[in-house]
Parts: sequence; C-alpha cells; structure tokens
Amino acid sequence: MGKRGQGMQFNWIFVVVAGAIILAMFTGFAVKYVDLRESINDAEIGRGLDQIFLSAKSTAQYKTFDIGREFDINFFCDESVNEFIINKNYGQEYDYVLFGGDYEDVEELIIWSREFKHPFRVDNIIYVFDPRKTVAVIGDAQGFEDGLPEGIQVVNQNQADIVVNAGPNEDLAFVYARMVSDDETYNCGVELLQDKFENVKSIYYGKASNMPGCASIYADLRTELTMLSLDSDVESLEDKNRDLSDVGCEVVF
Amino acid sequence: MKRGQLQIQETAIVIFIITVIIAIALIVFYRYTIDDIKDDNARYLDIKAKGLIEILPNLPELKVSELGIEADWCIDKKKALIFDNGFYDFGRKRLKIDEIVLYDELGVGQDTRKFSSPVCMYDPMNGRKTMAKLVVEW
Repeated sequence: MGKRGQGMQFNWIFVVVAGAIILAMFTGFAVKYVDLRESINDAEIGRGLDQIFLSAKSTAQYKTFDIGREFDINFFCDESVNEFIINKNYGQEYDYVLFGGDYEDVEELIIWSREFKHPFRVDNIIYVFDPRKTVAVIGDAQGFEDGLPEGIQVVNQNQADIVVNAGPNEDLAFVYARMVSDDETYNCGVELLQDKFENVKSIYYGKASNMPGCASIYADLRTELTMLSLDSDVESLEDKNRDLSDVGCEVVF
Repeated sequence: MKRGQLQIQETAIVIFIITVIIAIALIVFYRYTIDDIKDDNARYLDIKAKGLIEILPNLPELKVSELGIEADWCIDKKKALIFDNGFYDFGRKRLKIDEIVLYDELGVGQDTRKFSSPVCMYDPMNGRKTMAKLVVEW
C-alpha cells in the first residue's frame, strides 16, 4: 500500500471514529432526555391524580380520570409513607384515606369518594378502580350496586374478575375498600382511617369535656366515646347526643 | 508535516471544538430542564398549600356538626381550641384561627408557605357566629 493509500485509510478511520463519538453523544443525550420527559409526564399524572383525590376528599363525588394514554399505577405503604407510584417511576405521597389496587396499562380510572360516619363524620374515603374489571358481591350487601359510580360493571359471580364478600351488617365503605384494593393497601387504608377516627373521637371527647350544663349526660357521652371503636355499635352514643338536644343543651356532634 | 496531514489535524480540531460546544449546550439545556422540574415541584406545593384553605374548614375535625348534619360552612370554636391542646396530629402544618395558634409543629429552617382566608366561626358556648381568619402555614 502506498503513502496515498495509507492517508486514505487514516481519513476513513478518523471519520468513522469521530462520527461514532458524535453519534454516541447525541444518542446518549436523546435517551437521557426521553427519560427526563417521561419523568415529567409521570409527575404530571401523579400530581393530577393527587389533585383529584384532594377534591374528592373535601366533598363526596365521582370522577373519571382519563389522560388518553396508558400508564401503570401501584399503591405502596409502610410505617412511614403512603404513596402511589406512576409507571414505577414517580411516587406521590398522600395522607388521606385512600383505597386502590395495582393496575397496569390503564388509560382510565374511576375515582369516587364516600362519606364515612361512625356515628359522626370521620372522613370522605376515596376509592380508585380500573373500569375494565368486573365485580360481583356475595353475602349481605344491601345497596352495594347503588353506591357504585357509573362505569363499574357488576356481573354474576362466575363472570367477575373480582368477587368480594360482604359480612352481615358490614359497612359498605369496607366492602368497597376490599373490592378495589389488595390486602396490603386495604390494611394501610384501614390504618389511616383508624388514625383519623381516633383523632376525630379525641376532638369530640375534648369538646364533651368543656361544655357547660348537662354534666351527667356529657359524662355518659364521654364514657361511650372512650369505648367506641370502628366495630362497635353506635346507637347508644347517638341516643346520648340526641338527649342533649332534647333537654336544650348543646350537642357534641 | 505534509499538507494533507495538516488538513486532517485542522479538521480534527474543528470537529473536537464543535463537539465540545454542542456537549456544553446540551448539558446546559439538560440542567435548565432539571431546574425547571424543581421549580415545577415548588409551584405544585404552592397550589396544594392554597388548596388546604378550601379543604380545612370542611374537615370533620373543625366543621360545625349538629345531630350529624353539617349544614353550616362554619368552624366550631370548641373543636378548634382542642387543636391547641395538641390533640390532633396535623403533621408539618400550622393552623391559626383568629390569631389562636392551633398547632405548631413546623420544622426549623424549612421554607414555609403562608395563606389565609376568612372563615365563619361558631361558638357553641353562646351560639354566636363570628368571622375569623384561618391561616395555614406549610
């Protein structure tokens, strides 16, 4: 090979190496930028959902969340954090009572909230559900179908993706919670509801300790409040509160 | 050095400089985008904090309730004062109603957002309704 041939060969090697470096740089940047855009999109979905959940918390309502493209949503909780994760990428923390499952490739979610009273209002519970799934209920669940928002298909047990058991006289709030969530998120949601219930109960206990007149009824009511749990009967407590109104004293709740 | 080799060296230097300039531009653009995302996060927290002003008066922990009916858009003064006794765990938020600090658990040295709104306050001791200022620091 002559000197001229060696020069040509060097030129080609130089062009290929320089081209490869520049191409690798642009490709690397493009990949990074696509990742970044995806993170931004995931954050927008997460914040959008957070806003809808917050508005559902303030008043009982139902909404459809449809962004026109598919995404994954997973609910996660441990002792320190409750969060939902979008596309296994963006985690949005929340501190409201929320029940939802892990859904893949969803384009639309049904979100609804329901007032939970025991016997006073404790919170508006938020439910998140994938409308592609069908449900069936077995057991004593009066009003189950009426309490569901439009878009959720209730079918018979053999055709259903999700079959939920309703215990005798069980509050529908818990039946819906089991319907939309797995065991882990169900337990986390119930724990948040329990905390909220204890807080509201403490406030009513404090209020009943500082009211003038009707001392014996307020004292009885405080005793009832101390024994009150999410499973207990509420009739006696409601009666005590009504007694206050009947004798012209300020009610507690 | 021959003329051909000089030309190749010149071309190499030009390509190297252009590549460095493009790389710097891309890094600056990338950093700018990341900063913009951080700003976006701060803007979202602002919106969320402002939203609390609407949500808080509607919480059962504060709202007036009579025989299970919450007809009034009013805060119950008795309930509000119980916040002051540290009954309620409200995380890193501070609530003030009519200059009464209801809960004070803000982290030291953290950025805080402060919003206020007029609210109706009901006093069950005398049955009077007054206007109060609800302040949320977050």
